[in-house]
Amino acid sequence: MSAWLPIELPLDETPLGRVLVWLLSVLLFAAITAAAVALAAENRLRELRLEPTVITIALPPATDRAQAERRTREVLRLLDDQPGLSWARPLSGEELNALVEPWMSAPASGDDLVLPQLIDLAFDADAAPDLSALAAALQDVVPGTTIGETGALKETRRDIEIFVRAAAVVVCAAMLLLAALASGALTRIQLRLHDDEIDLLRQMGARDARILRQFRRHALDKVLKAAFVATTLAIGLLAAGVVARTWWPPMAAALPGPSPLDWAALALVPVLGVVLVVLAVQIAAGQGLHHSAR
Amino acid sequence: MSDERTTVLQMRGVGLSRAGRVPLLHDVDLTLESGSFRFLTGATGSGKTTLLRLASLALRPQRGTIGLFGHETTRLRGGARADLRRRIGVVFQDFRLLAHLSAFDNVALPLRIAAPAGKQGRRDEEAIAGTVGEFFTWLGLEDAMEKKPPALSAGERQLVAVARAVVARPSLLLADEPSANVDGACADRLMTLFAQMQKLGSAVLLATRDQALLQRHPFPILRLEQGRLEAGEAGAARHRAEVATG
Repeated sequence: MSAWLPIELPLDETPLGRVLVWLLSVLLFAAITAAAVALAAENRLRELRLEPTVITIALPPATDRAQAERRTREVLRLLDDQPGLSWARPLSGEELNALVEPWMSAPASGDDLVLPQLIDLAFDADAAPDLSALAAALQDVVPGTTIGETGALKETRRDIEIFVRAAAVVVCAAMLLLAALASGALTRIQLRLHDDEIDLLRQMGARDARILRQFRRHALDKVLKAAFVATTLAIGLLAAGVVARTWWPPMAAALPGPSPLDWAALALVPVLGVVLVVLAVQIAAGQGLHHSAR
Repeated sequence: MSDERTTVLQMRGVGLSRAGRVPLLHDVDLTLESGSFRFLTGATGSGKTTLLRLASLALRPQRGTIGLFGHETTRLRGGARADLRRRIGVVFQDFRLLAHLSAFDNVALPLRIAAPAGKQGRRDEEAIAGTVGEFFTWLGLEDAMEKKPPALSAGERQLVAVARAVVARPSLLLADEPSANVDGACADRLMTLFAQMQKLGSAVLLATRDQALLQRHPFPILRLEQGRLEAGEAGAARHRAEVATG
């Protein structure tokens, strides 16, 4: 049967045929959007991996300068043994003053205050420091030493991004699977609805392969329309996000811009949807026709 | 047409029961040769439509064998049955036209189905358009070609259904009450068409209860009586007796 001839089964004449386009549009849109979220989470993870882990160690206030210098030396010696340490640097008095100045009601010198000693340190991007073990070791050297929460926050952010990525991948796969299952279920209903017409075509000598082609052609027509609608909407949404990044800096910091590879990966989602739907219809129609063969 | 006649349809001891119990047909023996014409008559519910459905491979018999064009069909499956069905034209009592297709596309269906899979091109379609167009002209339905069945009168639908059955020049033509929805003149026109098919070598089996049609066209009559087939002179004699007694 040539593509330019009308479909012989009235598959478009029932509400099911018309509903299929909108149902698939919604599911494919959800799948593309979920894939975009997964890619954004993946990009954030990649950036997080490239960021060195920077943390601040706070030593309790020293009684005098000599004690402060001794403690600092001991801590730096301990830090030198830490695997993956990139650098460690004690903050100077001026830097400490600059940190507390915003909270002072009147101009004051840090020398008048009892302040902890702070040491900034950074681990290599690919290092995975055991911060709990480090905290325990620091306690042994200088009791009362604490580690800032920055490092722990990075771990939490990484865990969140991993969860978001996994959840988005699951949602994307679920939407594609749902599209395929829904198409297969609707095909089974269509087979029952058009049993009389199928019987007529068979009576005229149509082989099941010909009838199957009509189901496939109908499904391809519907899913291509749905993919076009879903992709257009999803691209619109993503483009709006990309534009919003340029206007709102916090968003730019939170969401890295999609690369050409990301766009290509997103384009694969509706293609995969089309393939799965056509495959599901092919299987459902093939099984149905096999069972109804006389 | 060649004088040599071949067996087109051969039923031997064919039986069928509804739900496995209520008998519809008993031990039917029937042979149709190419170029033959038979009327099939009988009361409503006597099994005419069932017999036609068995002959067109729409049903499988529970007993006996059905041979078509030299092939025993009982065990045939899928593609082989489809190939045989392409050589059979069927006029259904309820037309069974596809409502979403135009009258033209309905009539063109058997020709498109018979075209080699995946090979059908615009040239084939032009040939199909020519053949189908001729039929519409002959039937006086040129204006109805692009109309869809719901927009046609019952008579026009009957003519379109007949055109669809004969357009592929089938070797076996089975017609179930083809004159039920048309006037006498149109019925005679259809009979001329069926007779033409017979002369071209098709075997024609026409089920009807239209007494006027049976009287006007002196073809052999097969009579179904409660699922039993009375062929030859016995069937015709019983029919004549029934007509005489009203």
